[in-house]
Amino acid sequence: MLWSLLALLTASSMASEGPWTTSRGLHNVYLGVMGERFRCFEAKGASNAACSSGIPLSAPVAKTGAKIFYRTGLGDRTDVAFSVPFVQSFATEPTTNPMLSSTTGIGLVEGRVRQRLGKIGDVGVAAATGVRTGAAHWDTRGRITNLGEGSTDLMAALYLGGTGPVVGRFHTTSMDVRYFYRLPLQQSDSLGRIPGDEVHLSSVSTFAVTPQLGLGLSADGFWRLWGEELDLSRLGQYGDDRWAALRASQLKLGGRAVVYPGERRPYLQLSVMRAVWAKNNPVDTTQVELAMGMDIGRRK
Amino acid sequence: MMLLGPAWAQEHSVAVTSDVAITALEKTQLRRLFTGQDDAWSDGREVQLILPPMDSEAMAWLSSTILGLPPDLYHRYLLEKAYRAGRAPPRVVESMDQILEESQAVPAVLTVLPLPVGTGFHVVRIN
Repeated sequence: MLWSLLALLTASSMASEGPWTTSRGLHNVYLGVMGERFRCFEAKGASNAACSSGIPLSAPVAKTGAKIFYRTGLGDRTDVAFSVPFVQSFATEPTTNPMLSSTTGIGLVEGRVRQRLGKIGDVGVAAATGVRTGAAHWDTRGRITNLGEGSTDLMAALYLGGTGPVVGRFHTTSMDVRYFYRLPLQQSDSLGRIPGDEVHLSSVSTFAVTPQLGLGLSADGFWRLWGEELDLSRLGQYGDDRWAALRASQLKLGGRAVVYPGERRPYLQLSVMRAVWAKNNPVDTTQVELAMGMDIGRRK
Repeated sequence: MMLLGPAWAQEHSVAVTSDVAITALEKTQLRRLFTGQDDAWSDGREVQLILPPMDSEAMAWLSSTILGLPPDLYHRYLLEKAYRAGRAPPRVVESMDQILEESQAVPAVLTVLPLPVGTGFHVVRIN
């Protein structure tokens, strides 16, 4: 069946960090729990939440998990960060399809070093380089309920952001653009390296409604720059790397509520995002994430 | 009646320590200094912000005259900016006398004081 050859290609959730580097001696720890669900793949590149032209799976797929993110300063303008997600992906209705077997394990592990470059006007700018790997879920990459594609990728990123007063309130706005050079899993005669490189964009703008609460809008998208279209006769040649071979893209939009940290109170954040456009990827993804952040150490 | 304004309207001023050679600034420049969007004086020295108590008349004057931001939101903004920058927020003193005491040990201070501002400070006129 067609759906049995479709992949779980949802990008791992990565809220925009912005250009604000953590100083030496300070440690930021974020703990997040997330859940997401989808049922419909869109092949043509469209907004299609009703799945009228998409490809419905025989059972909806859900992903739940927890993620720890740690960041610490190497100097006043340089920091380093690591994140490790622990994820379960499963069909939410009974199915005998082995491609929808429940999968539990470690998702994409990421690490990066970031340097604050300065400001352009009121916009702070930072750049980073890093690596992410799906080696921990390599064995299950062929499933629809996979935790990722098992590849290892090199990253270069640009972070922009600012905060300031606006109409009697204040805003905090940031945008991260990341390019992933994906180390090849296979070599295609016609396409070259498989999987294709990716561009990820993540942006959030939060306005302080009260001294304790901020509300905002966020956008999260990725575009794989080359790959196969959803053509079963061609995808079959890639075996378990068939999902990595797809030229996939997805754009999600959503909202966010932030409970600002106090002197002894952690930072709390609730995000809800929904796919609004996709190509060779789920078009009805709904994602909810609750995160808590805290600082350990002393500020300058 | 509109000319009367609040009781504190003419009783406070932006002030700097005597080592800062600035006597007048545009309101937008002052807003940028008090919100940390600009953080250095023209001679390159870091602006040392010492703020009056959040519930004081001096803060109410700063809030309405310069910032256009209520004191509680301004305080949250300073905390958010410090949180993002991984730095300590600007000093908020517990009494107006503390501004005078702490400014003796710190150069390049920007603050708000009741008029007259007293020894060691001079007024920054708002253009």
